[in-house]
This record gives sequence, structure tokens and C-alpha cells, in this order.
Amino acid sequence: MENRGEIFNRRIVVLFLIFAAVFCAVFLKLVYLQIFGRGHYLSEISSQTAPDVVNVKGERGDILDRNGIPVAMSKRTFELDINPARLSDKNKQILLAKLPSIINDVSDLYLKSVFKKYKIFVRISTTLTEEQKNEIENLGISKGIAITPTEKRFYPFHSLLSNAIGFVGADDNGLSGIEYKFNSDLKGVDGKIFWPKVSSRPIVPNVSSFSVEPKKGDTVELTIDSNIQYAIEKYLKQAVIENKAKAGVVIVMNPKTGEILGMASYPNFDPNNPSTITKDSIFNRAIQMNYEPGSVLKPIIAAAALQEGSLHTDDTFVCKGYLKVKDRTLHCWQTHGTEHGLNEIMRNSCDVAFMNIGLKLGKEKLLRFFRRFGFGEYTDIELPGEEKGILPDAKDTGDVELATMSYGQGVAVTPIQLIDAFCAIANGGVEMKPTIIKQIRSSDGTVKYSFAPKVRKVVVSQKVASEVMDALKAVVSDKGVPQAEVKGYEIAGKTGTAQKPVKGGYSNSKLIYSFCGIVPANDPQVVILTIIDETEKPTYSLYVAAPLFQKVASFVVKYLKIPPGGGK
Amino acid sequence: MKRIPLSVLAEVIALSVISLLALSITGNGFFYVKRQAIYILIGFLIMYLMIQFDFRELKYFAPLLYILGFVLLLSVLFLGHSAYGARRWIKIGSLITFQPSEFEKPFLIIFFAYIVQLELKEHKKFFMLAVSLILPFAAIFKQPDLGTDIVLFSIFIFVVFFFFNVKYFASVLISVAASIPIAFKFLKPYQVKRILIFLDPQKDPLGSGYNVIQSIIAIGSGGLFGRGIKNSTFTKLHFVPVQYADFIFSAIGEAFGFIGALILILLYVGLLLFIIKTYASTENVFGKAITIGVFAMFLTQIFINIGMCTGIMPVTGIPLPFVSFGGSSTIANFIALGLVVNIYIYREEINISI
Repeated sequence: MENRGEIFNRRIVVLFLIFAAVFCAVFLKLVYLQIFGRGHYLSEISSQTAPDVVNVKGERGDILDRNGIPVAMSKRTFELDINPARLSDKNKQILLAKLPSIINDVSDLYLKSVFKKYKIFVRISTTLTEEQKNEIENLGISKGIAITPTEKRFYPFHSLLSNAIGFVGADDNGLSGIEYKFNSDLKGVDGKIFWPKVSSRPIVPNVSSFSVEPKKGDTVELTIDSNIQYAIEKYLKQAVIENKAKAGVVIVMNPKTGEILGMASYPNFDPNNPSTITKDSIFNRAIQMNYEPGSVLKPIIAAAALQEGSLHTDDTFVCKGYLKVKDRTLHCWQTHGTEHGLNEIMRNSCDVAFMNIGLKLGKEKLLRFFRRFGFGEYTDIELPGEEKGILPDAKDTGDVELATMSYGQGVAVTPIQLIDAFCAIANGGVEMKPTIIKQIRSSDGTVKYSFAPKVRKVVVSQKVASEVMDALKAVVSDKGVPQAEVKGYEIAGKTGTAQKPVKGGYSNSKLIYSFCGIVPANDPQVVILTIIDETEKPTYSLYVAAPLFQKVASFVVKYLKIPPGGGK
Repeated sequence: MKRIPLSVLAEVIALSVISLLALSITGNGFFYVKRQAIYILIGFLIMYLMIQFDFRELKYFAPLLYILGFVLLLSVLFLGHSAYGARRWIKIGSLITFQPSEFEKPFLIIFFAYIVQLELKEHKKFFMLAVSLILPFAAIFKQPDLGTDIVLFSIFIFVVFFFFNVKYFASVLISVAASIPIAFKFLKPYQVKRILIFLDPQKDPLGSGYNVIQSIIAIGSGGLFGRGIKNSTFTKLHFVPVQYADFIFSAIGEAFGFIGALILILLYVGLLLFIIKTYASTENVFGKAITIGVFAMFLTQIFINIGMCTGIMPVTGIPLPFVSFGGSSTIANFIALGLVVNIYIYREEINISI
């Protein structure tokens, strides 16, 4: 029995060795797998065996006008990809014969070149409709062809508001306008469907093992009223064509809240076809154009001088048709003779009178008031690429420059700055921040942002504002600008015909025409700015911008049901 | 002192907790967790019952248990319920299914130990041992269940090595080596494939090599500390097939990382050291033989299972003791461990009488 016991003891050693060897092997393998060889395994193996993941596009959010009418929306479409290497010759023939008739913009020539060039999946179209998809599926080709649901940005009103909305690129990212500025809000969150490759279990079509639901992007609601927008775009286009002009701008704004009701820039584009966009058509003149406004700036100069006490409403001016400043003779557009009071010089748009006002006010004060009105500063409207105008430095401004600035030359503003300044006068001296965004809601309805009127600055006193208003009322009258009158309504406004700067000075033939009007004058509801850039033949603003204003204002008062007498 | 040693109790409880945690992330809500918890409770109850008698009394029941096991295996072949292309289960009513091949493991261990302690000539005992292996082996091979056959054969070879002259052990090895070409003829195509895939899993990464590769990726992704219960995406997305059963180690590897896997392995080491200790502390040959059988059963299952999940071994359906989901295997494990605990408890008394 002793012998047996010894054998048992020896065998325990063997047992222990087997045991140790086994666990060492497992231990070392784990050390390799989980610590040292990790990267190698994850990188080399996972790509080969990773389960199929199908991305489900999260729909891009809608852009609505203030009444909830979509101006940009997402449409379910299908993407077609073809892999020529996996297509049989017979199926290639079928595709050559049938595909061009199903998809219009795919020619058989193009298909042939695809078949020749590629051995991988090639994207053929991303805009197939449900019917087109079904037609292609009915061809009965299973290998080498892939149809996946996707989405396409769709602008139901085509060019309407295009300069402000912008457009979306092929990768579903906004490239200009609101689409660009609010891209991260509008963009949906993609979902995923996983199809693990399980050898023991066949994959059941349309039954996934795990999926992450896609999320639609936020809805952006604008302050724009698409009916007003449609009208102003129509009238603007008419006016540009009639006058054989280069371009134009119309902005309609609520002076009390700062909401932009309409913003038209011509030429514009159809964001449904980004390939047709040009540098000129995508330019949003309403916020991106720095221009010398001319006489339309005079109410601002008057307001500044009144506020500073260097002008009184009953001051008398004498216009001899020109004014000598230093060694230069600066001409008025007419010889006005003796003029009594602010109302008369405003109605006459007398350059000599305003030069005198400006010279009396002084450059420091004038430039300070320009800044106070917001010139030379961004309005921070929620659109990308805004310009901020050009104000000269006080130290570079001599008396000649000061005199020309006093009638709106030698200083550049953007249309949005100009209309906001007019809004301040219409609103009793309180300038509101212009805005185009009314609300941003996430797809579940939670409000992420909601517009509340924001005061930008108090620019002048209420008294000064109402004195300027009186002068502007005098402008739109039988003796002033009857072209801007709206029947039954008292209108306040100002014209401006400005020379465009060219190399070495100002052009006498290249003019830019503005009219900014306040409707109705006794209780301002809207302010409308119309700008026409370069008519074929030089003329005056009252024949170009004022009639355009008249059309827009007539529509707006009717559409918004503004009572004729004004007042509440 | 009919008490389960505290260390063993702690280890088995820890293994059970790991099992339930791993099952909770392999999906299907708490379907597997609830069932496995019940199996574990039944297991503990059985282990408790297993130490209420002196194991030496089992000697008288050993032939009976062997016959019972074999009859159950035969009934599987004729009445069994098939799943995954194999006929391994017996259905009782509509709810309970059980897998006789799992219970065959402890039954055969007891019968082997019975043969070893018989006062017979060595060659006669060896003959009996071989015949008693071949009958259940063949029945299980027919199901087919290669994994259990490997465990049974491993038990056999351990018993031969420890209780017979070395020449018997050598002859077994030689005959195995000689029969390998013939064995390939009997193997099912999928079994041959598994062996070929083991040699090169990249051969068919989306087909037969899929399980191993996914398992390796899951384990590798766990890294040192694991991705935690919440982030274990490979496991949660069911990238590893039948992960709740044979591939549960990959879920542990992903969720708890190298540290978790190491803790699991150390728990097994503790359990196996306890079995070795029991083997060394008893003089009773019947007891010693049972201990060796249980040791062989656990070691083989642990090694082949973890080896399969980590790519050291070919894929064979072998559950990880106390961790893989499954009623029959869990209860069979508790029976086997119960035998060893019983021997450990009665070791003093037995040392006097042989």
C-alpha cells in the first residue's frame, strides 16, 4: 500500500502540472487578446465581420413662414447605386434599355461609361420617387444594384425668399442663408439599423436585431410672411425689368418689433437646382450690399441735428444751387432759393440745406449719430454674411467729405441698417433689433427659441422722432413725391438717388435709387424700403423706387388690413 | 461537521453572481436570468442533499446509476427533442426539457470509481472501464454532442492515468492517434468544418468562423477593465451567437474586461485546487477516483470553453461550469461538486478504513 501512496503523490504533481499548464495557456491568451493584441484584433478583424449597418437619414427640419407655411421641407426620395462588376451582361443590357426612360437625367451614354469605368458601387441618382423606385425594382435585378431611402431638400415655392433661405448641398449641409446659419438645428440625427451576420440563423428581410430611431431636425419658423414675400418679389422683378435695371431690394419690416415680414433681393435663384446658382444671384443684397444711399439718409442727418440742437424745425435756408466748401463747389440737384423750415428742405431734398446742417453739426457728432443709428455695426440679423457698412474715420474727414456725407454720399450702409434706422424714427426714436427668426422647435414640439422684441438702442428723443416724421409726411405729397402715395393712407417717406462710386470719383450715369416709407404715418405698422440698382437711363428715385414702394405699400395695407385712417 | 467549506461556498456563489450578471446583458430582458437563478437554487439544494450521506454508500448504487444514465441517453435517441440540428433533450410536459448527456457525466464518474475500487485484475478492470465508456459515448455521439463526448473521454483518460499502469495510458493514446483518420469519417460535416476553422478562423469569417471571430472581438473590446454592463455593445447587439450558453465567456470578457476574466479564472483555480486537496487528503480509492473524475470534468469544460471563446480550441458545444445558461448542466455541476465536498467532509473517517 505504501507503493500505491507514492504513486498517488507523484501523480498529484502531474495533475498539478496539467492544471497549471492549462491555466497558463488561457491566462496568456487573455493577456494577448485583452491587453496587447487588442488593437490588432479590433482593427483587422472587425471590418471583415462587422454587422451590416444601414444608416437611416434623420430628416432635415422644415423652414416655415410666420403662418406655418413650409418654404423649405424634406421629401422622401430613393438613392440608386449600381456596381457594374456585379451586374451580369444581360442585366447591363436591361439597364441600358430601361433606365434612361425611368430616370430622365441618366443617358445610356452615361451608363455605358459607368459600366466601363467602375468596378465599385456608383451613385446614379438620389432623387428617385417612389414610382421610379418601384419601376426599377420591377426590372428584377437583384445583384449589383442598391436602392436606399434618402431625402431631398425641396423648396415648394422655388425662388421665393431664396436669398435668405439659402440652399443645401449634396451632403445635406446648408451652404448659404438660413440653411447654413441654422444647419446644426435643422439637421436631423441619423438612425441606424443593425443586421448582425449570424451563421446559424438566416437573416430575415426587414427584421433587424437592433435599431436606433432617426430624429428629425428642428423646425425653424421665420417672421417672413410668404404672401408679402411673394408680392414684393413680383413687384421688384417687374420694376427691375421695366427699368432695365441691374438689381433691386425690397424689405418690409415691423418698426415696433423688428420683425422682417419680407426680404426680397433680385436677382435670386431656385434652390431646388443649386447648379443654376451664380455669384450674383446668391448675393443677398438686403444684408450684404454696402451702398451709398444718397438723400434717403437725410432724415437721419436731420434727426441728429435736431437732437443736438443745431437744427430747429423752423430754420430758414437759402439754396443758390451750389455751395462752396473749401476749394470745391458742390452742386444741389436744383436751385431751391429760400426755404422755410425742415419740412420744406426735406420735401425739396435740398442738398445745400443739408450740407449746411452737416457742417454746423460737425463731423464728430454726425459720425457719432451714424453709429448710434447702427451704421458701421452689424444688426445681428440671423443671416450669414452680413455686411456692416463703411463709415469714414473722423480724422480722415474734411469739410468736403462732411458736406457730401450730409446728403448721403461718402458713407455706405446696408439696406437692413437703413430700414432699421427708419424704423427707429417711426418707433419714436427706439431702434429694435431686426429679426427673421420667430421660433425654433425641436421635432417633439419643444420650443427651443422664441422671438421676443429686443431694443437695440434709443437713438433720438420721441420729440425729435416726431419732428422728423412730420418732415417725412411732407415729402409724400402733391408737391413732393406723389408717386409714393397710397390712397386713403398718410405715408411718410424719403427718396434717395445716389451716384455710385467708380474709379476716381462718382458716376453720373450709374445711379442707385432708394425709397424708404413708413405706413401709415400716424401709427406706423410697417416700414418699406425699396432699392433699384442702376437703371438703363439715369433718372430720379421718384420715378423708380417710389412707384415700387407704392405698389408694395398698397398690397401690404390691404393684406394686413391696416385701417385707412390709421390709429387704433 | 456536515458543512460545505466556506471557501467553496463563496466561490460557487461568486460564479453564480457572475453568471447572472453576464446573462442580464446578453439580452432578452431577464428571461435567462430568472431561469438560471432558479437552476442555481435547485443546484444548491441538491448539493446540500448530496452531503447528507456517506459517499461510500454510492458504491452500491453505482451500477444502477450507470444503467439509468444509459437508458436516458437511449430514450433521447428515440423520444428526444431536437434543436440546432441535434437531438439532445427530453421533454417532460410542455415546460421542462432536460439533457441526459449532462447527467451522464457525474453518473459515469461514479461508475468509473466503482470499477477502479473493485478487487480485480488490472486488465479486467481496464476492459470494464473501456466498455462502460463506449456505450454512453456512442449514444451521445449519435445525438450528436461532441462536446460531452470529449468530456467523457477526458474523464476516462484521467482515471486511466491515475489508477492504472502507465502502459494502459500509453495504449489509449496510441489507439486514439491511430483512429483519428477514421474518426474524421464519422464526424458530421459541420464538425470537420469547425476543426478546419479552428486552424484558420479567417477562412470563412462570415460563416463558420463567425462565432469565434465575434467572440474574440467582444473579448478584445473589453480591454483591461471592461466596457461595463451598460456599454457592452457587442453583447447587447447579439453579435456573438448563443452567447448566453456556450459563448458566455465573451460577454464577461467584454463587460468586465481582463480583470473580470481573471477573477473568473481565479475562482475556477480555487475550486480545482480544492478538488486536488480533497484528492490528496483521502486514502479511499473510490473517493480518489471520483475526485479525479470531477477534476477532469471541470478542467476539460473550463479549458475547452474558454479556449474556444478565445480561439485556443476549436468550437465545441461545451458549457462553462456554473456560468453558462442551462438547467441540466448547472444541476449536474452541483451534483459533481457535491460529490467532492462529500468526500472532503468524510475524509477523516475514510482514512482509517479502506
